Amino acid sequence: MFYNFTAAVRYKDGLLGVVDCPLPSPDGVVRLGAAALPSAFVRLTNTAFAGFHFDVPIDPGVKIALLNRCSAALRQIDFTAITSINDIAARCSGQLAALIPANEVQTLPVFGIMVVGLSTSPVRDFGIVGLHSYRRDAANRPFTVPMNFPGNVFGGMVPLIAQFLDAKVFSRYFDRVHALRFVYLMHAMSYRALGIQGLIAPELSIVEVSETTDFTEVPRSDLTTARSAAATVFQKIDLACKALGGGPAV
Amino acid sequence: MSLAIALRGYTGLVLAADSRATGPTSSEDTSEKFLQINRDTGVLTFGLKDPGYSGITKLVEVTKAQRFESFARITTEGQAIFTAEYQRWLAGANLPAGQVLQQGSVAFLVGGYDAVHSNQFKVTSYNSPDFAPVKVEMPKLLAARWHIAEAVTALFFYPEMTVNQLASLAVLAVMETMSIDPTVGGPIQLATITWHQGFRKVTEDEILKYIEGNQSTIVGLNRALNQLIGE
Repeated sequence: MFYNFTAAVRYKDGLLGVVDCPLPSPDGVVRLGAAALPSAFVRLTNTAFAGFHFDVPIDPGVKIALLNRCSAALRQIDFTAITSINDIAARCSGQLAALIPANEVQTLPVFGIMVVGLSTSPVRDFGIVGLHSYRRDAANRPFTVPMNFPGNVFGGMVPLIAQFLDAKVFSRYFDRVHALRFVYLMHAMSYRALGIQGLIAPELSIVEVSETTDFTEVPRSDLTTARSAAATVFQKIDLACKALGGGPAV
Repeated sequence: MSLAIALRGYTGLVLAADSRATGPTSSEDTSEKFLQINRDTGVLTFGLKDPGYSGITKLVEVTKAQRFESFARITTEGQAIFTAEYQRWLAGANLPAGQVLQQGSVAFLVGGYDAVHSNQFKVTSYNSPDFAPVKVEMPKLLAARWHIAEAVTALFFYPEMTVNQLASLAVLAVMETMSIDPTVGGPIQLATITWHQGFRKVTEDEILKYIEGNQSTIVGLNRALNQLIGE
């Protein structure tokens, strides 16, 4: 499956958007059947983007249709002169709420959109705002009750495993290299728990925004390096834990 | 919601659960999720509290009254008893019109030593609404809020573990889940099933010793993770 392991990870001077995706075919193009997979990320401004997450199993066709429809709506928004991630999220919220007719609200699957990026006012900081299909205002409009997240955010089907590792190991003072390594360690642990059931995909697609980089996809060479380092960490931890045999002291 | 664990090792079985019952607006840590059925067998419930508790109570009553001898007989009768208790609860539950309970809203595990037919430690699981018995072939079964427990046991578990080691691991898995998941909490409930002692509910003092013993494991795991990821 795909888009079931998602994260927004805020490191020292940047932010990563993470989603799982199937392995690319030999020609390098990720496909599901005959249809090309849409990206789970939408560029909103130079320093902000939206990422989709699906928290319960959803038919792939329905998922792709939702992604295409919501992405198209988000791309139509004019963000000129907007400098706060909260204001960007508010525009997204309004656009998405208007997109869904009242008679469709009750049948809308459980999914969410994280609006993330660099705010330059009122303070300069990286922000993450969650919009969810099931968080609705008094008029029952979806995506209308935004949530601000002070730390990292994990969506999809394994947020508990990610939160568990986040609490144990993550530091906001990580640099980009260590943040990427952390992401792959989370994915390895989650994939062992759920990958065998086909619920999360074996590869990751990662985008970034930082103090020095506008919204862009993280190069595959960086992903390969991080994945390899995380695999080494995971292997060493695994061996150490097995060696202690349920007794004390790693 | 809750967490239920069954681990099978070299010398027996361990069953574990938390004791939190979570409602729409509050939670309480008073849920009794285990009962002993006979010398070698126990039953555990998770999910909806009321039909779960009445299901395990009824299975114990019927087993004692009718003197079921074998693990197979208990597990077969379990389906009828759990279904009847669930239907009785549903009839009086006054659920809102149109509300459909999800599959597995109430679930049970029967674990024990089959001394009559196979001389093996066995676990059978049941899920609402039909409670069809499913033999658990894998040495680990983690149910309900299983995610963190799965990650933890995947790191530590191996099939040759003793019951004492399994008990320590089960407590660790529940502790680590409680540290993140607010729907799992309260006193840990634990039972072991071995050849020589049969079903035995582990006491609160013994569980406290496992909790204390696991502190160095948790600290060691945290330290190793932080050192390795920082390299």
